Amino acid sequence: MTATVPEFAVGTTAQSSPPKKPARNRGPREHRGAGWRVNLARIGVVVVILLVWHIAATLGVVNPILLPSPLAVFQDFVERMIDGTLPASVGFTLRSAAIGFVIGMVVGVALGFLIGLSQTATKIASPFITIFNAMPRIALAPMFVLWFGIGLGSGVALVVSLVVFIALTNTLAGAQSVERNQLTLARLYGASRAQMILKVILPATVPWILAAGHLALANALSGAIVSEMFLGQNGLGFLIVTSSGLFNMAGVFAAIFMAMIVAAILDWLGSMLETYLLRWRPPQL
Amino acid sequence: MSMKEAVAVPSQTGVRESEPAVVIDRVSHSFKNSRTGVLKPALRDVSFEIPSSRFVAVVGPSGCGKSTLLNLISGLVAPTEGEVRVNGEVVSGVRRDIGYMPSSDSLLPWRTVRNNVAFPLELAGMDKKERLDRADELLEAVGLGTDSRDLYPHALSQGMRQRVAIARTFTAHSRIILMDEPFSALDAQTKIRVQELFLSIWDREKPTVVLITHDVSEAVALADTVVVFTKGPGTVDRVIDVGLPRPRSVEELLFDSSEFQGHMRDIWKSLRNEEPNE
Repeated sequence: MTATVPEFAVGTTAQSSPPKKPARNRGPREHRGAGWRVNLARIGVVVVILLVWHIAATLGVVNPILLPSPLAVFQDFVERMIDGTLPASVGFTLRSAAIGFVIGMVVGVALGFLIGLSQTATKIASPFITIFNAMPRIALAPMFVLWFGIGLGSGVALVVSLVVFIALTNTLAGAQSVERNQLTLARLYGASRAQMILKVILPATVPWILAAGHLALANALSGAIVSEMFLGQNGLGFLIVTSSGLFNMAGVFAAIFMAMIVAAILDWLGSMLETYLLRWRPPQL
Repeated sequence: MSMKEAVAVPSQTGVRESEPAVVIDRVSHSFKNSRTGVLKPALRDVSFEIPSSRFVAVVGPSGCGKSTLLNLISGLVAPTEGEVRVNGEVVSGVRRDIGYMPSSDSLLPWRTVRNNVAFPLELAGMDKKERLDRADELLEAVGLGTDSRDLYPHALSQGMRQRVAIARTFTAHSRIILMDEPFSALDAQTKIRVQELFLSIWDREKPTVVLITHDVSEAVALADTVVVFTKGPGTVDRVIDVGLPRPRSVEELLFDSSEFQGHMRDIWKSLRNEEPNE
């Protein structure tokens, strides 16, 4: 493998080759035992954080204009949910995130495959991919606004620029990581080039593509929000910038919390899909 | 050493096929180091014939070109000199009619046990119902019940995985099977059980087998003929006919057969002379 294994794939690389140790009939839920204790501890952590935050804000340890109390944030959140600004903003942000995500994944996976199937193409492309991958693409946001206008277009463009490289690098690494033995076996049993790709290389790459998709979800949301912060007229990013401009910190936090909730839901949906599609893999922690 | 070692000795059944299943005809092979461009010889002037339905084991010190020999027969690699013929045809590329059992089980983790066994038939374009029936038939033969056929490989023990690999090796009714140290990763007990299982299916289907191994006891216990290679660049050192009757029990041979032990000692001595100087 060349240097194209993306950093973020580190967690997934280890998983995508089946462990040599036979995981004998270990139930997938075994590790999640004693769940109520873990959940209780988690709730405890949240309560402690909220308490410390609340005390800090109300006792005047920090300026309440800069850090509103959790209650103020909650109040703002509820108000904006009721008057419809938050749902509308989420809808707008999700739209550019979703469009950009789909375009980015499709283009990235297709490119990753095209390049990854050829050793020569991989060698030629890898330094360019590394360089473009290292470039802080968020910094392109102002430029995209000029190129694609202040509407949906610039948001989608930024999201695509983020997602496409995640998909590309992971698909490439996945296509290269197929076990030699499996390829040789298929070849000796007379697999055609098409069969080789469809029945060996593609299935072996699926975990890498899914890992990329999972990571790209969070990036797509961030990308859409950041884009809206530059001359945007709608969406969560716009809400954050305008609230901040009015010194309405509760509004800023309410919007950020909304983004966190959406991200958590997307992440959960992604995990469900991953678990279903990768049910053939040994259960993990 | 004669130019052509005839492994051809009348087989158990007394039937002598007119054309040997595999002919290695004055084959030499060298690998080119991709960086330095220097040629490194792996095999030199190897000749022998394998009659149909014969079980041949090739043993030799590591680096003697055993695996290269297998790649030449399968058509993955073309020899630098000489030719390999399978069923009378010169090997010029990968052949569909050869079965292969690699050193790792190489099960595809995203396929269930049945679909792994049916994989070679699927590649050959066989209809789904038909290939799964054949897979079930072989899984039955290797003793994997209906409850484990829809499992994914990760849920299986090493021994079970190897049994699935055996079933897969036989699915395509290949008349020639190449094996590259397939049992080397197994623990001693599992190995004997899996070897016996392999023999039982082999006895039924009687394909020609070329088994590459560094395990002399495995070679003697399973094969009709053991070909001993010299150290690299390898060539045929000796050809030993193992006259042990079939069906065989590997366990009994290992512990109770003086004839088996005689062969073992004999081959062992040849190999010791070939050991690279420490």
